Amino acid sequence: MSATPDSTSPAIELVGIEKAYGQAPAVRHLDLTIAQGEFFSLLGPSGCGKTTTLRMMAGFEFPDAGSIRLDGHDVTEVPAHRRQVNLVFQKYELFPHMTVRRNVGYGLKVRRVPRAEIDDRVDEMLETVGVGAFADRRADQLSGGQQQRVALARALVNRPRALLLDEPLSALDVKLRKRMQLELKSIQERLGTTFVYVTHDQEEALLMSDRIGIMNDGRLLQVGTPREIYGTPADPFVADFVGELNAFEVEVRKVGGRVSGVVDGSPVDVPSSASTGKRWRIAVRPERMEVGPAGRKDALHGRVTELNYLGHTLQYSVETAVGELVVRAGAGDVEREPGSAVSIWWAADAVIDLGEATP
Amino acid sequence: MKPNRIVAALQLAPASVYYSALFGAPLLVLVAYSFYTTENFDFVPEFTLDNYVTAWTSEVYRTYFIRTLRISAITAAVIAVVAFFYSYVITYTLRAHRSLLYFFVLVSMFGGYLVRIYAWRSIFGTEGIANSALMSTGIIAEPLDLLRNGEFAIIIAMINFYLPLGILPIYAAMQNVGPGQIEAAQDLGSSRLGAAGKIVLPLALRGVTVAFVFTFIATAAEWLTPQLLGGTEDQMIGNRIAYQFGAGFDWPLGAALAVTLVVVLAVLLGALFTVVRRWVR
Repeated sequence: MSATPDSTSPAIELVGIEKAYGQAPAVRHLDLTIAQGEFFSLLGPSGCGKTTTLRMMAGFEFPDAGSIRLDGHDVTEVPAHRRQVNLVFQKYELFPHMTVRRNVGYGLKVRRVPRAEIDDRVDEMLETVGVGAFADRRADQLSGGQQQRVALARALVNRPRALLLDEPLSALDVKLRKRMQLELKSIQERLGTTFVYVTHDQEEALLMSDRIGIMNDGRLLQVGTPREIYGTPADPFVADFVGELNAFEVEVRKVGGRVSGVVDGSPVDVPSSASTGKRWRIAVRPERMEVGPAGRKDALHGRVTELNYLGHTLQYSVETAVGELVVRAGAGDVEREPGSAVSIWWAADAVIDLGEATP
Repeated sequence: MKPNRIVAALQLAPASVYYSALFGAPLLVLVAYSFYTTENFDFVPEFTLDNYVTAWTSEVYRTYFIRTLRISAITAAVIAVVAFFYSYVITYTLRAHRSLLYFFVLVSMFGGYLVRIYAWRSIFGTEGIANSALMSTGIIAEPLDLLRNGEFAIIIAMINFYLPLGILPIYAAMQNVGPGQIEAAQDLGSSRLGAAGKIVLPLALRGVTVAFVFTFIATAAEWLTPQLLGGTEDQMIGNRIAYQFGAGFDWPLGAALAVTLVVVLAVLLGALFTVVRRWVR
């Protein structure tokens, strides 16, 4: 029962969206296209405008400027109850006076779907999300995880053109959250419905999404696959927000015919955009850095200040000429005790370009 | 008794003592009087059912009972509807100003009964403000019967007096229904009005029922408002009861009428609660 799109148009298009609350801008000139059947996440810190953007897609907020298209149709001014999208609320917002079955059937009943069809679709959806056994319980007699699944079923049973999810897992404990992440992803793949998922949890976004849009301060900073976002962040904020980062400045010089960054007398790789004679900001992820015995050529040199055992990894803090760096190594590697001198190096493709350093 | 039972009994004591001494006991006396016999404008403790026979079979009293229930039912129903929408607006639509709007409800109770009833008396009546204003603007040529003293005037004035009593329980019940649940209903295709009917009303129904019952009981026992606004015709049963305990000098009949009113109200409201409970399920 996959939701086959009516058209070859994108599921959702936002064009030049502006939204302010009084004097405070919430969303600034946002353009975004979400493809049919895509799992798209809007990721950013609280107050970045991601929830406002989602609520504009749902029809609870209306943009001051710009337009919203759903399956190619302009819905900018269409209110929530006449938009063919459904929202899974952060606090679920189930109707406490109704049974699970009546909660899930609510949208179909409002749209005057025949009784028999409602029953079939509700039962099928309750099985899909795994709460078939609780169909006749009242909504306020369910655990948090069960309520989450009912909220999902209540939205999906309407076969929306797109399902919008507003931090739906944030109220669950870690273990349940991890399980629901995988389940949500597999339900999305099975149904083929377009999902737009708002979260501030970068791991969650990386794990579940086909593509991620990173927002900060009302702006959409970068849109890309998890690999692109993590590996080649387009913006210092993106680089810093998604994953951990060792960022530092190097002097760009020609060393032996190659353009290199020079740190502590040793040449290191710099992005091709770097020009000689300038100071450049680069960054390397902790797990892309290698740590080894002191004295290695073309490497940074430093001293271990801290060694933490994290189960699957070893995490070092190393004092170097560019400041303290965090380096992660496999737990099977040789452990280097605090105080020992080490070399740190990385592959050329591990370098993230943060642009010319501002003096 | 377990210690917490003793504590609970002590906590209940002030209210129980107060109500048994000052409400329960007089009520029993009243019930006793209703079976007494009247002789020469006095009554003697001689058991009789005559008072109830009069109260239940007399055409006159039936008219008063029916008028009373009609006035109270209309008043309580109008109050329940108006109070529901007022509570809805201050809880959801104008959420930012709800303290102020809630304060207005309380302020409307400050006026004092006498000031307000005389204000209403000057508005209604053949020569009242309502009729003279309409006549001076030329909208009507003759005073309207509707705006003279009578049922309509009683109902309008009692809505004014008892509306806060209706708003308070409905407003309290609505605090349990978050704006998110209304949005959820809208997201699933309900209009704002649809969401109010399918989500807010059932969840606040207990409050709406309490509002209806409070105002129904309070208005059914009214006698001062109909005395001052009912004109010569449209008196309520409270006026007849007051009369029997006053100029009428027939306390047993007055007591029988009062007990009958209590029983009728108890039966009607019991039935209402049963229906509402079924409906919610």
